[in-house]
Amino acid sequence: MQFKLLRGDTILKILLAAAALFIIGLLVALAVELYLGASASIYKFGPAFLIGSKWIPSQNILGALPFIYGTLLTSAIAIIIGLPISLGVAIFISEKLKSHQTFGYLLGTIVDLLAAVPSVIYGLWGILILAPLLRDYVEKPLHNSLGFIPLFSGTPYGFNFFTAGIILAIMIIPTISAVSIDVLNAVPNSQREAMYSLGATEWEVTQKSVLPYARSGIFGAFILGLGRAVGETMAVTMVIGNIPTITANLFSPGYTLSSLIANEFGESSGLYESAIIEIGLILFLVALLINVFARLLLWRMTRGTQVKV
Amino acid sequence: MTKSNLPASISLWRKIVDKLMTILVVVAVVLAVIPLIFILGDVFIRGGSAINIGFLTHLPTAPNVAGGGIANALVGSFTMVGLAALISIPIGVGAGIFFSEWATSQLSTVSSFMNDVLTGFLQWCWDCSFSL
Repeated sequence: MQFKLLRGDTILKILLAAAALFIIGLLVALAVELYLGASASIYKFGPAFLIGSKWIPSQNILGALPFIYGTLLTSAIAIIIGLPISLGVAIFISEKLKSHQTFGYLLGTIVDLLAAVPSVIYGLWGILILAPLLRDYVEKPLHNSLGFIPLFSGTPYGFNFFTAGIILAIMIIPTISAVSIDVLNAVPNSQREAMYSLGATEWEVTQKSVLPYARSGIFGAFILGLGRAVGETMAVTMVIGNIPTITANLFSPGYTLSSLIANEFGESSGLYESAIIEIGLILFLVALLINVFARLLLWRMTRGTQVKV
Repeated sequence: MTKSNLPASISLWRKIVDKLMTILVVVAVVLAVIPLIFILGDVFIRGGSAINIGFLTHLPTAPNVAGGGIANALVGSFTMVGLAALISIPIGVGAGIFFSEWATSQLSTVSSFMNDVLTGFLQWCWDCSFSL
């Protein structure tokens, strides 16, 4: 009996380890496949591909910089707008509503619902409603009053970096706040009580004892949101305008790494196709870098303690 | 944890900051919920009125011909999701159990890191690599 049980354990462990190995295999296979597909382009353009700012497939002049720029800029807008709002939502639900748990739970569920909306619906909503609204009520007033700043100098048509950034912000808010709510809820009450007993106001409790305690978890939530923003394809493709541009002007149409793949991969061939696969490889490496960087930072922040994000 | 717990002697500045942050937090919630109401309202009001049994059970008609539905798209979505679940759930759950039961092993660390990388990022990389 004992022997049989042990043998079952071993079999289970082997099966489960195989599943874990499968994930590694998947990632490695993906990397190898992308590299092989991109090798023609890597061989032809070399590192210049990364800094080339022109994308003219008919003449085989291909550079990735406008797309890298678009991805970074839209993600930055999304984080700058989305992170404070998400943190506000998380603080409201887990701190302000501590004594109204049902309402907090309800609100949390509503925010979670946003995460379940498929991205193509965000895109459709972006085209039909958000882009015209932003153009008429945000972009035009900003352009008219602050047009002397390069950021707002372009004529706003609605389909540009700014709109894409806003759509991304809306999409990452549920991700970041859902994780942050869990993290803040996990902060032991003794942390708060100690602060209150010193006569702190509610905000001082949140700022000085809850947020510092939860900082590594919140950082994890931030990385998750950033990951979603960098990789998001459909919604961005539908509102960014899809013209490769490098400019400080937020009201100019742009292009991102993932939109390029979505739009042009289907009709590409030869060197052009290889270049698009190299774009995919770049996106892959950006994802890898963000994750490695986040891991290292987390390890430094939580030296010695076990924190699972 | 109500305001009455605060001593009367608390400085005005700290009270103002406290109130201000409460307001900011509520503003954040309002800003986060507006798009949701907007999207859901729009999808349900404008989209909901178009849905009926006929729309769900008929095949699309040729362009410019009235009527038709999305039966093929519905069946396609469910078939695809079913197949994907059939393949991925055993592997996903298995790997998950491995990560938590043998959390300290080298394999867990490496594999769960790679899992993080795969999550969320790579929608279109897949498209690339599978159509090769």
